[in-house]
Amino acid sequence: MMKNEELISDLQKIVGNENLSDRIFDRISYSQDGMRQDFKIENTPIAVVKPISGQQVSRIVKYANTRRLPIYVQGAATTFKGSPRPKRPGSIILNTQNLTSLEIHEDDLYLEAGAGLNQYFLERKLSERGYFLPMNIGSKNSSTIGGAVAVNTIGHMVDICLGKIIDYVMGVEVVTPTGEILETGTRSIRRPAGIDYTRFFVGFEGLFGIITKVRLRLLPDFKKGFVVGFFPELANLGRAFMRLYREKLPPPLYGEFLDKDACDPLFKLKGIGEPKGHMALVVTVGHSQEEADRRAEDIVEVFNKESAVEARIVISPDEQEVYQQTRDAVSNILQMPIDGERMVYAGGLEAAVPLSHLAEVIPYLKGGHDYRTLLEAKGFTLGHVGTSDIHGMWLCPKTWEREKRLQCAREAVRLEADINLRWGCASGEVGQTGVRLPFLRKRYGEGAYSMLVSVKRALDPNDILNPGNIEGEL
Amino acid sequence: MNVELGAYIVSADELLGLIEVCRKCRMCADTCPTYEGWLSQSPMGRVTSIYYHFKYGVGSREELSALLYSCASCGKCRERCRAVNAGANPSDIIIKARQLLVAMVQKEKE
Repeated sequence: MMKNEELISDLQKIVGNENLSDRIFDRISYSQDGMRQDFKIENTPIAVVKPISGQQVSRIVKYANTRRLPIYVQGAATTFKGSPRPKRPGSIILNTQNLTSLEIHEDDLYLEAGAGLNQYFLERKLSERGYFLPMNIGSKNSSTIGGAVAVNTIGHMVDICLGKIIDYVMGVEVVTPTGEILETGTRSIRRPAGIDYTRFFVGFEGLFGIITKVRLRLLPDFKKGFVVGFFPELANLGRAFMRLYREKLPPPLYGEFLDKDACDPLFKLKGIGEPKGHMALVVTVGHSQEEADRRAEDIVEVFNKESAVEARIVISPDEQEVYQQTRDAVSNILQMPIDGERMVYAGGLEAAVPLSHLAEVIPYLKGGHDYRTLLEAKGFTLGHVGTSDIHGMWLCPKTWEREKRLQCAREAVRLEADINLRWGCASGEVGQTGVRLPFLRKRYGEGAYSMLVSVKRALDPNDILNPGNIEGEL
Repeated sequence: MNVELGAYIVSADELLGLIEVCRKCRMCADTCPTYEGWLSQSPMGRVTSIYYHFKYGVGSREELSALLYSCASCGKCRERCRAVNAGANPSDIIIKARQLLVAMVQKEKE
């Protein structure tokens, strides 16, 4: 193994002194990703590098291959499944946040963005020009476009309304695990039929290459309609969304819900009275306001067919904002003591389920399972019901022992896997590696997993790119 | 000079408990006036550094001290903090860590 000083000196020659840090607290800070569990100190990287171009990334990777130096790639490392953190000693972290170029080619209907460009920044830039970024991730204030594309996530939006981000990726610039720079895809809005190398990289969570630039189709902005509904039972709410699709209505942009237990403290905090039941929020889209409103009226009708206590279109932007904030800032629930006790977050899950089982799964998640620690904690159901993707969130009293809280988190992971396995699905927001790797193996079998490992080994013979992720190490 | 700090110094364990609610989302970084692109010079970076220093002995006291005293204590991080509802307060944690470091040094001198 090379001495660290030589390694750092060599890397500084590639990226410049100002784009490398070997300060201990930078190495620690970048190693700590969004997963709550502490990362292993023995895996503290030697340095953090922030290249400013695909060429620099290529040189770093080529150098790493000659030294068998593990590289862990991250944008903002906001994912909470443990994939960005270092898993082997003697590594470097390659952070993409200096890759922030942006070119908008309106005549050809695409943009090219550096992988490290912030999502919210891009969303605003597009909005200024009348375009729409087809993703809305909860951590968008810090997350990068490259990270979202690497995981193929659109966050809270309904997949079948606009598609997942892969449907908008016309191509990527990527550095392979052996350091070659590839440019994939096309500059035409007609994407390649048959082999498109883009598919090797979008959604493969950094296993097969480092995305340094993304080419995205431009999407014109929409007009929107807003519906709020309250239901007496969670099963009613689930059936409402099942009916929406059974009646062949156009999918909404957002279909969100919060159970009444979650709504109670949040409504109180907002000063908007008592919730009339479990809350559903829908945002419809249309090319004209008339179209968006007509779709919203259809949603109200569907809600009423499923015994909504109240279902109405919300016209006032201020009122829309109140409901939206109530849902988005659900962690505000932690501000309210429950049964006189101060609460802390104890565990969470995300499970996509077949539409036909929505009405069954939501109550099951709420309290129909037999995970004892979760049943003892205070559980809430919420999420993206319009895309058949449900979250469970558990809080526990601050006075619980740390081990009991960890048990809660472990049971949430197991319950998530159980639901996905039982109903033949896979979570739709944050990817399948890291802490979810055991589920991936169970869900798709060892044959599929072996295939994935074989491809990884073929593309990355020195095992330098995010090693440990495909093995499920944490 | 003997400074009586005992009344409002938190212990290292208490400090770690306060930090545990941090969501590690890095959303506070951009809002920090001292952040110039390296995460240690951000609220999340400072809080993470405090955590790993006191829990695992990572980094020297001098390095941590330099980091903590570069915080402007403006409190802007709290406006962006996603864990504020769980009682997180990055700038307060940083101040408490400073107080703890001072108390530790004083105690060693006694």
